[in-house]
Amino acid sequence: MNDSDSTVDQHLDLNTSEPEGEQAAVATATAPERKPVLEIRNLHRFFGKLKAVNNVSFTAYPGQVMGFIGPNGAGKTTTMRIIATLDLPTAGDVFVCGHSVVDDPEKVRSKLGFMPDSFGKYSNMDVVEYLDFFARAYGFQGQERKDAIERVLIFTELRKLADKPINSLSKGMSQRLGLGRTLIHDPQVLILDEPAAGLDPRARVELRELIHLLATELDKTVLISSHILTELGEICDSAAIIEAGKILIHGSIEDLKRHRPRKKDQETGLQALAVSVLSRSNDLRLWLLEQPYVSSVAPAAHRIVFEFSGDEGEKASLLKKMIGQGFEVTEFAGKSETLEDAFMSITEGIVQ
Amino acid sequence: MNRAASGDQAGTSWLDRLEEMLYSDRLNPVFSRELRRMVKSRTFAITFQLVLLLCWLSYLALVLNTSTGSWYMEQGLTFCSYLFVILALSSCLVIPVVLFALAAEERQESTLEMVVTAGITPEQILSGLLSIGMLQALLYASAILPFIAISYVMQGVDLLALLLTFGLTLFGSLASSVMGMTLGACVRGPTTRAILGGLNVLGSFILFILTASCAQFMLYQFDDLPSIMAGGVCVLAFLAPILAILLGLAINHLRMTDPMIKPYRVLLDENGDVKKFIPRYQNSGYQSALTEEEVIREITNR
Repeated sequence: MNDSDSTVDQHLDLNTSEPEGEQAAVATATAPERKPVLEIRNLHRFFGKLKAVNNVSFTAYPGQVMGFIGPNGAGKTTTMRIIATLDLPTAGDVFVCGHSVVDDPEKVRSKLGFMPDSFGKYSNMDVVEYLDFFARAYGFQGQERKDAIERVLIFTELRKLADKPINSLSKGMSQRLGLGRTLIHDPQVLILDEPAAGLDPRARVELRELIHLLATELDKTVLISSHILTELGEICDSAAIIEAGKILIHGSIEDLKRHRPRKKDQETGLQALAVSVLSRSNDLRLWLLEQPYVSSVAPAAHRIVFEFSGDEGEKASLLKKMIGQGFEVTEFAGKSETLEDAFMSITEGIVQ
Repeated sequence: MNRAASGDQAGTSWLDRLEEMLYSDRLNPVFSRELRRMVKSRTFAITFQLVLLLCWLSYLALVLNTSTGSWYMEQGLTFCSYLFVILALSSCLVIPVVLFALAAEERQESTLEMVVTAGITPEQILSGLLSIGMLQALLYASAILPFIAISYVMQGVDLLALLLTFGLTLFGSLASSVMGMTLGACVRGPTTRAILGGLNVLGSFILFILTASCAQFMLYQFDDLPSIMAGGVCVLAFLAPILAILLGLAINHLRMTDPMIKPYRVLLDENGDVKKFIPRYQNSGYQSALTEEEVIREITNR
C-alpha cells in the first residue's frame, strides 16, 4: 500500500470511528421503512492497474437528493456511468429499483434518467422534435408520446420555446432541455453529472428549484455531482465524498458539515472560533496573536477567525479579557462549517 | 410537429395526417429523427437542386445536339448514360459523406451516451442512418426519373437495362453508405475524423467511378445479358461479406460497454468477498492487464 492509500485508510478509520449505528441512523432517519431505489454494492472498476472505483457502496431512497462530491479524477463520473449502464463494473453491482446494471441493463434504463456533464445537441432540430425523438426511443406511442412531451415542456417551462431550434437555446435553457429529456419517461432515479456547470446565477437557482421540486413533489431520487459545493449544500439532503476511487464519508449534509478529522482535533484540541467587533478589528487581530491558546488568526468578511486550543473556561476568560480591553464585541461564536470546509478537511487532494 | 404535440385538433387537416403518416409510431426513432433533420438540411436541398440543374443542362445539351432523326436513338442512350452518372455522383459520393458526418457526430458530440441510455441499440442507429441514406438516394433518383423517361421515349434504351442499371446504382449507393457509416462510427477525435474523413472521400470516389463505369457498361453492352448477370452475381458475392464485416465493425464501435475491456466478471457476496470469478472471452485472445489472481487480490485486500 502506498502513501496515498494509507491516508485514505486513515479517513476510513475516522469514518468508521463514528459511534456505532450512527451511519445507519442517518440512512433510516432519511427514509424510515423505505426500500432504497439506488443501491451501490462494493463497486469496483479497474482500468488496467488504475483503480478508478475501489469498493464504493452507498444507498439512496425515494425523495432523496444526494450529492456526489470529489476532486477531479476521483471516480465520480466512472461511478455515474456504471449506474447509467454506460460502463460495466469489474466487480460489485449497482441496483436501480432492484434491477442490476449488469444483468438487467434494459430494465435499469427504463427506471433511470442520466444527464451527462456535456451533452451534444443535434443541428436542424427544434425543442419538440428533440423530445419527440427520445420519447420514441423510450417506446412511447401516439397520444401517450404527445402527453409525455407536453408534461415535460410544462415542467421545465420550455413551452414557449417549443419551436425554437435547440442550437439557439441559451446554456440555461439547454440544461433545462437536458433535464426534460431525462424526465421524458418519468424515471424514478435521476443521475445528474455537473448539471450547474457554466450556468449563470439565475439559471442555477432555477435549476435548483426544479431539482427540489422533483424530489419533494414527485418523490424522485436524485444523485447529483458538482464542484459548486455551496450549491450542493443547498440542494442536497445527503452527500457522499469520494477520493481516489474510495468513498471517504457519506451521510446527511448537516453531519458532513459538522465533520472534522477527529483524531487531529482530539490530539490538538483545536476549535475554530469567529469574533466580530464594531471597530478596531485590526487591533483585535494583533491583540489575539498575543493571547495564549490562540493561533491561525485571520481576517474574514466582517469578522476575525482563529483557532483556539483552550477549554471552555479559558474561552470564557478570553472573551472577558477582550471586552475588558475595550473591544465592542458583537459576535463571539464557533465558526459555522460549510460543505466546502468539510470537503477540504476530509479530502487530501490525492491524484491517481 | 408542434401542432401534433400539443394535441389540439390533431389529425384534422391533411397536413397533420401527412405528418402522422410520415412520422409513424412504427418507424425507427433514428430514422424519424434524421428525416426531420434532412428536411431542414442545406446539404440535401443544395444537392437535390444541383442534381436537377445537371439534368437540365444535360437535356439542354441533348436538344442542341439533336437536329436530325438519324441521331435520335444514339442520343437517347447517351443522355441516359449521363443521367446515371449524375445519380451515381449524388448517391455514391454525397450520401456517404453525409452519413459519415452523422455517425461521427454521435460520438464526438456525446449524443451517443444519451441515445444508448434511452434504449436505442447500435443496430437501430445504423439501420436508421442507412435507411435515411437510401431514402435520399431514392429522392435524388426521383429528380432524375422524368429525364430518364424522356431518354426512354427517345428510344435506344431497353427498359430492363434501365431497371438493372437503376438497381446497380442503388447498390453502389448502399455499399458506399455502409462504408461512410462505418468510418464515421470509428471516429474518436479530430485527428481520426480528419484521417477517416479523407479515407471516406477517397473510397466514395472509387465506388462512384466503379458504379458509374458499371452503369455505362450495362447500358451499352446490354445485348450480352448472361455475362452481365454472371458479373453481377460475382460482384454481389464479393461485396456482401465485406459489407457485413463493415456493419459488424460499426456496431462494435457504437457499443458503449465494450466487453473486450472487461474480460472477467467478479460476483461478490454480502460481505464483499469474492463468491465467483467468471473469466469471459477466454478464446478471444484478449489479455487483461491484471491476472485472475491479481484482480481477486486487489478486490479482497482493499
